[in-house]
Amino acid sequence: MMLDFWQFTKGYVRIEVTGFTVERFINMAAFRNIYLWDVRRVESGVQLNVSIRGFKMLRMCARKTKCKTKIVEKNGLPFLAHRYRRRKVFFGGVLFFFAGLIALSMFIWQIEIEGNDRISHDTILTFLENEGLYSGALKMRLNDDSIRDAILQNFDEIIWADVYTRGTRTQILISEALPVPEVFDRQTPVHVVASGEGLITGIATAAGAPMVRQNDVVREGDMLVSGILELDPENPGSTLVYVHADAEVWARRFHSLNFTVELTYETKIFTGRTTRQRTLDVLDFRINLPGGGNNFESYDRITTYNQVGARGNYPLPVILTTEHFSEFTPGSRTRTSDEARLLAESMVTSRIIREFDFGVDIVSRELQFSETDDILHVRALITTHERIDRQIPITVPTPAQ
Amino acid sequence: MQFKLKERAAGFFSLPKEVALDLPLLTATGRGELSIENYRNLLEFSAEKIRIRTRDGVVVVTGEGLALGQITTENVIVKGKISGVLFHDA
Repeated sequence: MMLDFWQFTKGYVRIEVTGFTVERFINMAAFRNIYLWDVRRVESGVQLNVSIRGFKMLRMCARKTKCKTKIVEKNGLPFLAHRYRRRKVFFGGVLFFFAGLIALSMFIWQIEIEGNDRISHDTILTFLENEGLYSGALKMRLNDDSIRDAILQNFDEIIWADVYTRGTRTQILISEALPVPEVFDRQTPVHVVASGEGLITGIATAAGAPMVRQNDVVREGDMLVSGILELDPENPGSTLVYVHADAEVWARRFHSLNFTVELTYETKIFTGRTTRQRTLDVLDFRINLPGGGNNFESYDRITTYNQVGARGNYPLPVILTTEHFSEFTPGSRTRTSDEARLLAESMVTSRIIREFDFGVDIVSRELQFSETDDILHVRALITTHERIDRQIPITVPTPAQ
Repeated sequence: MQFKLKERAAGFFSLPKEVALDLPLLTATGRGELSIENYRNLLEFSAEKIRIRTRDGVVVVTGEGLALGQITTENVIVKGKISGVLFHDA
C-alpha cells in the first residue's frame, strides 16, 4: 500500500512492449536495476508499470532489444501537477487555507473559567489580561503553570487552580476557600445611642439599661440604652458593670427635601437627520469603514459594539463599532405648572428610593409648591418610621493600679 | 567434490545455503504468489507458463493468468493461479 502511494507521488507510466524478444527486454531492464511491476501478457506483447525515471532508461533497452514501447497510461502527481499547472490561484488558495489554519491556531481564542461563584468572571478575565492571557494572545508567550501560580498568588480566596490549554482553548478551573464567617463582637461594652432625632415609637432592649420610653423625643446622639449597670440597684454607688448594650429602637422621623423644577428648560430638539460611522477593530489596529462621518455641531452619539463570535464559543478579537449620530438643535421648551408638579412628584419618589435605605418605611409625604416667575420651588415633607439605634463603644476607665 | 566441500563449510558456519551456494530460494504464499530469489534470467513469460533460469537448472511455473508481480535483479514474484512448479535440468 505504501509502495503504491510512493509510486503515485513519484509518478509512473504503464507501457506496452511489443516485439520478438520481450523476455530479453525484461531481463535487460531488470539487470539495469529498473524496477518493473505488474507485468502482464497481452496478445501482442507485454504490459508493465515503470516509474517515469525508469521509463526514460527503458528507451535504451528497447532499442537494444528491438522492441517497441507504447505508453498506455500515465498516472501520478507529476502528471496531475502538469495538467493543473495553470490553476495557480486554486492551489494558492489551498495553501492560504492551511497557512491561515496554522497561523490562527497559534493564538488562544477561547478562555473558559469554571468553579468561581464569589469572584466574578470579569475580575479574573481582567487579571488574566495583565498576565498576557486574552482572546487573541499568542500561545508561545504563555505558560499554563506560570498563569496558575499568578492566579493563586493574586487571589487569596482561590485555594486551588488548574490552567489547561488544548488547541486554541484555555480552560481554567478554580475552587474558592469557604467564606470567613462574620464575627459578631459581643464582648466590648457599648452604649446604644440615637442615630438621628425623632419620636420613639417602640424600644426592645436585649441588653443594657433602657433610658428612654415610648413617645419620648430624642435628638441625635442621645443615650437610648446604657451599657453601664449598677451591680446592686438598691444602693447606688456600688460597683459598676460594663455591658455590651443591644436594643432595637424604632422612631418616627421627619425629613424635608428641597429642590426646584424649571418651567422653561433647555432641551434637545431632534432634527431627525442621522449619520452613522462604523469602524472595525481587528486585534490592535482599527479600520474605518466608509460612509457616515459626522459634521453636526451638536448631536447625540449612541455607540454599539458587537464582537464577532461573541455569542458562539469562539469570540474573535474582531469588534465592529457602530456610532450612531442624531443631530439636534438646542432649544427651550416650557412646562405648564401641572406638568412641573407631576415631574416633581416623580423626582421625589426617585430621591426617596435613592436616599432612604431599604428598612425605612415611608409613613406619609406631602409636597409644598411655590412658584416664582420661571421656577417651581418644591418642598417635600416626608415622615418615616425607621430604626435609630446605633452602638458606640464605652471608654471603660481602667481601675487605678 | 568441490560443491560438497562448500556445502559442508556453509553448514558448519550456519550460513544460509542459498546465499553461500547461490541457489534459488522459492517462497510460495498459498497458490497465488511465488517469489523466486537468486534467479539468473527470465526465459519465457506467458499467461500459462513462465520459465526462469537459475544456477540450479530451470524453474517452470504453470498456471492461469500468470503475471510478474514484481521483477528486480534479486527476485521475481509470480502472481496468478499457479497450478504447477517444475524443475528441469538446463
